[in-house]
Amino acid sequence: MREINQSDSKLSEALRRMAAASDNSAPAALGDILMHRFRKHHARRRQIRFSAVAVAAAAALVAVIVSTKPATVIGPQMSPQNIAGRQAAAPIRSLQPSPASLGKRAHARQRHKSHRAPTADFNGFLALNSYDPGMTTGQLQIVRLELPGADLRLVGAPVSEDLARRRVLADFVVGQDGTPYAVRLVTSSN
Amino acid sequence: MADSSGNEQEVLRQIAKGNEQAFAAVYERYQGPVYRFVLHMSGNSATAEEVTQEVFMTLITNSKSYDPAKGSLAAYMFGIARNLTRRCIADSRLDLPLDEHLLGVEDHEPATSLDIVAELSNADMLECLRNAVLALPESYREVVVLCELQELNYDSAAELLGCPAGTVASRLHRARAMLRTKLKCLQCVK
Repeated sequence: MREINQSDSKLSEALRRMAAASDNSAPAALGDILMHRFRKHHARRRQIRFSAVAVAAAAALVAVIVSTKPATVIGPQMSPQNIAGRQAAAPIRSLQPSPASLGKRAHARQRHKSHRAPTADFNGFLALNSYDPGMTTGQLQIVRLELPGADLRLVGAPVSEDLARRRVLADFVVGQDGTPYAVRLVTSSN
Repeated sequence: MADSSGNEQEVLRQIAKGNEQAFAAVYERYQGPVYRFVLHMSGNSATAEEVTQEVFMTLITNSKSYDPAKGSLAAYMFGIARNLTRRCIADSRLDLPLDEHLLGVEDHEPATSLDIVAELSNADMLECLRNAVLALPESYREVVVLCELQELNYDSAAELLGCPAGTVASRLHRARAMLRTKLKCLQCVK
């Protein structure tokens, strides 16, 4: 037993000598390579993260624009407080729906078929979903109607709750068959 | 060898965030032990370099896979090194463990002669010893490399290998016997 122990210690000593004779660490170049790869990896990660954030921000911006556009355009225009100012800026008789602008709207709608929110043109008319861009201006006429504000919803115009409770005077662009294609609020009363 | 798990987690968090100093610190601390372990396990410096690189690349690209609940960072890295070394050895067909009957440990008394390691100071015998270590079965070679060549205590080796300290002790005892027998055989051949 003693002999084995002595042999063990000699063996251990020899093994340590063997270990000491071997390389103790990885080549220095390996450290440089790994550091380079570390930097490259994290540079790429930062780039990916930045791209993801940019895409997310762009998507969020688009979503905000899409979701708020009807509200910001239609809300103020179709609320009683804004009627006077809008009338001053756009006298009823002088304004006609512009076929060119309506046509652009229609093309935009064709490109984005899923987006069916009504849009307003520069004359204050709000193109309704029923608007047909192929129609000539000769087929269109403006009809002024007084009606409950809530009824504007029947033709697809988004109306605020406040306005829905009032009676409103509105101009409708209608076709020969009476289909309303655009609407413009003139006045409202309680 | 191991930091507290909290510190290690923080270091790895810093590495994941791209902190070069944190990575450099971990590399400085562990490259030597990992490199030596693979070198002595494989007997090949190219394999040692390759595996060391892979271990640290895993740390760079997938540091989140480290779970402090499962063990220390050192154990995690040695675990990767062990698996990669095993694969490299299998690929290069370097793994040629001596059969039990060839070693004669089962059937014969272990060699106890002090003369077996008496002349280990010369280069030939160191080479002989290196070959004997490489010829050990993997589980025995691991404990020899960790406890004899890297001079870890049983507890540290057990932590790295994921087994009880008693198992390390018994494997080391058996590995020494195998080495003595192997060296005796090699001397006989010479």
